[in-house]
Amino acid sequence: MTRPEPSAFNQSRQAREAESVLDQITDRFDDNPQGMAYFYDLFRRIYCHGEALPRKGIQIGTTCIQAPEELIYAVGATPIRLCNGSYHYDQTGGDFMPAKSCSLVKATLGMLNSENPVPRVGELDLVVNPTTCDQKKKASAMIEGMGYQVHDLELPSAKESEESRLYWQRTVRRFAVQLSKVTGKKMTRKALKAAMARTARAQSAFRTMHNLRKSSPTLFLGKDAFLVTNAFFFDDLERWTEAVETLNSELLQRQEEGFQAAQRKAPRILFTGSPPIFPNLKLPLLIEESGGVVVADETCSANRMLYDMSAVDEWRLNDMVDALADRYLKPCTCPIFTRNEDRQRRLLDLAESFSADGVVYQAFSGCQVYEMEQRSIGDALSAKNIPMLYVETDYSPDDIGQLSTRIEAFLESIKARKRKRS
Amino acid sequence: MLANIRQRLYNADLKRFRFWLQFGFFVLFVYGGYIAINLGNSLPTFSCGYNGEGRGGVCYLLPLQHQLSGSWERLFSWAGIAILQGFLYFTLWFIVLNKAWCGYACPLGTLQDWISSLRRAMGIHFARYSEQAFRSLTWVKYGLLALTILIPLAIGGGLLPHSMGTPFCDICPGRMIIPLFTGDYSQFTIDFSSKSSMVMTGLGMLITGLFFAGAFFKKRFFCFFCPMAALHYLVSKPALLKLVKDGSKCTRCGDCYRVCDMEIKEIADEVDDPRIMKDDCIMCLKCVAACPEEDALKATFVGIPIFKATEEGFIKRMNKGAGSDPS
Amino acid sequence: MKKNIWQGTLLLLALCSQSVLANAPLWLSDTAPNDESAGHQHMSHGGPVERGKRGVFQKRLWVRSGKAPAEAAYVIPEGELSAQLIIPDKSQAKLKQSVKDQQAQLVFSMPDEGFYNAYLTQRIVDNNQLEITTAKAEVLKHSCREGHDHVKDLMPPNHLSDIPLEIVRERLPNENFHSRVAYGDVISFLVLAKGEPVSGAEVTLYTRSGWQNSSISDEQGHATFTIIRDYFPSWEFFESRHRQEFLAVAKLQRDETGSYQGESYSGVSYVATLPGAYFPSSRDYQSYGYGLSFGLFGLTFSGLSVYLYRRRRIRPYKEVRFDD
Repeated sequence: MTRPEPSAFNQSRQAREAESVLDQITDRFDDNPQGMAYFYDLFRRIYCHGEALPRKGIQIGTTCIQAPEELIYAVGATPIRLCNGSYHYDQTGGDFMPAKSCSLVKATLGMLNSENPVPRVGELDLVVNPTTCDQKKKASAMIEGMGYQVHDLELPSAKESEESRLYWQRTVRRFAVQLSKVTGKKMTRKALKAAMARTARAQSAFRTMHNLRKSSPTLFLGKDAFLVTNAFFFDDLERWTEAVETLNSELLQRQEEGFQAAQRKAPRILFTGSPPIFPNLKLPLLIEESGGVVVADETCSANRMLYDMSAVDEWRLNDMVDALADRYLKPCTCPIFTRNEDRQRRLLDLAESFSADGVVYQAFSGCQVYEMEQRSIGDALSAKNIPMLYVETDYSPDDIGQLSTRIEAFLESIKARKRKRS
Repeated sequence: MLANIRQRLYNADLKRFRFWLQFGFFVLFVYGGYIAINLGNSLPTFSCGYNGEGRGGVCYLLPLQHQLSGSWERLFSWAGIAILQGFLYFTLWFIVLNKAWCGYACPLGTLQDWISSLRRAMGIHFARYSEQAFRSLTWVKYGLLALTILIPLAIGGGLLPHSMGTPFCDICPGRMIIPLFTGDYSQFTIDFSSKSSMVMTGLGMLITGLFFAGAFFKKRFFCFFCPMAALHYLVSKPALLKLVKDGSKCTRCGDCYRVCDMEIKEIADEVDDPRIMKDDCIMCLKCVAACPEEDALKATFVGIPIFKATEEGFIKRMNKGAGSDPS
Repeated sequence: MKKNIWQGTLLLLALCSQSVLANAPLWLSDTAPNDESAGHQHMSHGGPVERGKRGVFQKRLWVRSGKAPAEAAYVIPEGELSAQLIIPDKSQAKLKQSVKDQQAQLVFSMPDEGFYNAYLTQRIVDNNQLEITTAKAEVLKHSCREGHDHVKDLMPPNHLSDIPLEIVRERLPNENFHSRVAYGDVISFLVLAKGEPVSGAEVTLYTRSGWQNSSISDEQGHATFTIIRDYFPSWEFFESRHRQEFLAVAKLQRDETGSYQGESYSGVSYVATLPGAYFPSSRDYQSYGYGLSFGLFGLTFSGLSVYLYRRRRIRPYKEVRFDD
């Protein structure tokens, strides 16, 4: 072993996988916004060169979007979202889970179990595991078994009732206390207020980007948008926000200039279902390589994670913590909840306001809840005459050929519909 | 130009606007009489008639009870017309502002908001009802309204003593508290002249004590039980000012429910019926200000939106609360 | 109970000597002499009224003689009489006199809001003395349906400048159409002779059961009295709106000579009477002490309950309960 470490890393399967996807993102498309350079570079450094994340304070891993990040920031710690998209980790994590289970959970377990995980998260003082789907629930003990301290954030399985709301508020309050214990820092009103202001700024930057995607012809592509929101998993909050704000001003300029990032007639796709997480941007990339454009999404790696904002009536600790609890539960359209009317309405509203021509529904095989909701979502969409392509897939690249045929056919049918309509 | 004005309106700092409007209405109704303002006897808000010269008008419940306590013969003759006339004036006043009379104009409501501010400044957190308590307590106001009407009628029929002529006023904390602002504390007494007045004034003072404690812990404590709110709801359909919800834009994030002083859950959960104003609503429009979804909640006057939920407005207002300057 | 009082006072009346009656001045009362007359009346803000044509209020006054309003007799006055009426706009109007059931009555209708002054002047020569008695009543007509904006302008009392001796009740501070004279209130009278204030007149105030107090009118013609309590029922029968009449009598003796209707006299005795109504004071039955203690109890009880509830809530949350 005489080679220097970085190059050894470069040769790893993990890095090669990331590199090829990044190359695909940057090289196969023209007109990438200059503002994206920051994100391309960030992913290259973290995923391909294995650079450590520059972090402040202690780190707290989260495995789902329901873990209130504001609380983590408020005690001076930094949250890092552990959900992983790597096929390599999917395979190594396969030891923990049955064969037919969700790639995302397997990849996350695989990463946590590896010697040199990527992104290089460093030491985690606590892993917060919201009890969402069965696989995540069971992962809890496994992560603990790897030597991490795990906090189970008890999420109710129905969200409509007032009881579940209060139950969740209690859970979140307990979590806030646990955070103070782990970090040794008291949760103060001032600190939480500041933390909420920081995430609010990030969220409003996201919302601006999100709204710019309404523009037709499209200003930039969905694969870039996914990369931006993926970066939110691990990037420094302020740096990320600034980069998004820079990107937004560039996009605004593009809007004024009447710039087209895709063909005027390119089918506008709304993406929903299991979350695309770098480097598994397989499906969005296939759509956009085939001439479609992902204009909006309803996934927990992007829109669902950043869109909803909390409102506080009285800026006292008690109300702020409860407000955060509400924001992480009430608008959440995760399929683990008993009903999914909210998700249907959300999709219909997104389809309408982003003038989407069709919906692509990704379900990781083994992710039962998404698989089970497929039918009801499909019905709701077809009632409004919106075509939906349901894709069951995983992190493996094996089905790319077959998928690309299906996607091309779907996009063609949308184009045909559009022609017929005009 | 017009779009610009609209945008500024929707971005408005509702809290500050509301504070000053409430303050203005408070002065109008409590001290307006000193500058010869008299808006009549049919106001759909607690401009207390016991507040001697200062009042700028009289709360409709006082003349209503007074009229109804007349003898039954009179009720079915000329006095009946006077009652209908009073009710008509009440309705005409009401439909202009709808329940915003409660959220913006009512002096007792404003006072409760001030007491809430005091609690907030002291760092004590507010109380909420459990959902079950809410569901059962919400009927109290209808019960009170029924008694407010039936007791005077029974007096007119000779079934109850005349000293109960204005039963709701007897127990309304507004009777004690509002005259206090013009230096008249004569209502802070128990009247021992008869058994019924002793009971009613005793109840009144108990409720006044309860009012102060209740309003301290619970936002808009009294409004939840107010028979005027119940009466409002019965005539609210033709109101010009309306609260409208577009359910398809709603993410049910519950931000509106959070900030709702009256704990109306439907504001967050109802997505089918656009007429979202419930009987407990005080139309303070805090929900509209706290809604991050473009166009999901709207206040319209004769169909023209005068305040609506916008993303920009939401972010502006929330950042103000969070103390950061969005740049 | 009311009847008992009535009977009691009648008994008292019988015990009183005849001489009281002989020297008794005339005055105008709105208390009906019997239940039948009272049956036509209802109570309005200015005392009992009857409903006349088209609902217009009509006031009936009885001529009485005697000092204590509870005992004074209903009489038919002798001598030469003249009656006058001023209506709220200060003009004069017709005042109907009649005698019914051995009782002299004055009747007038009150279409307008405000104070009506009715006068009955009696001139009589007796023992070389000319006695001129002016019985006056000041009657308020007010119905809340007419509103309250006009009240202020109608408050100042009216008087006539051709009345030999007249008593004017001066207004209480902030008096309005709803104000009531109550025990403990200080009321002030102005004594006028032909419209000019007169000093040295002896003014006597009689409360309902005959308690009296006298005072001499001062330079400006004023005489003031404190109304005392004259109503002592047991609590069950106490009525806070119990209306009682008082009577003010002013007397002025002047050594004027002349003749009247052929009879000469060497002195003139001027008498003026004015009745009024007074009520129990709210101080008699309202208590700040109890009021505030009830209020404080409500405040502390509910405040404490919320506090204790919150304390209890801090303990670990347990919700499952089986009460079997």
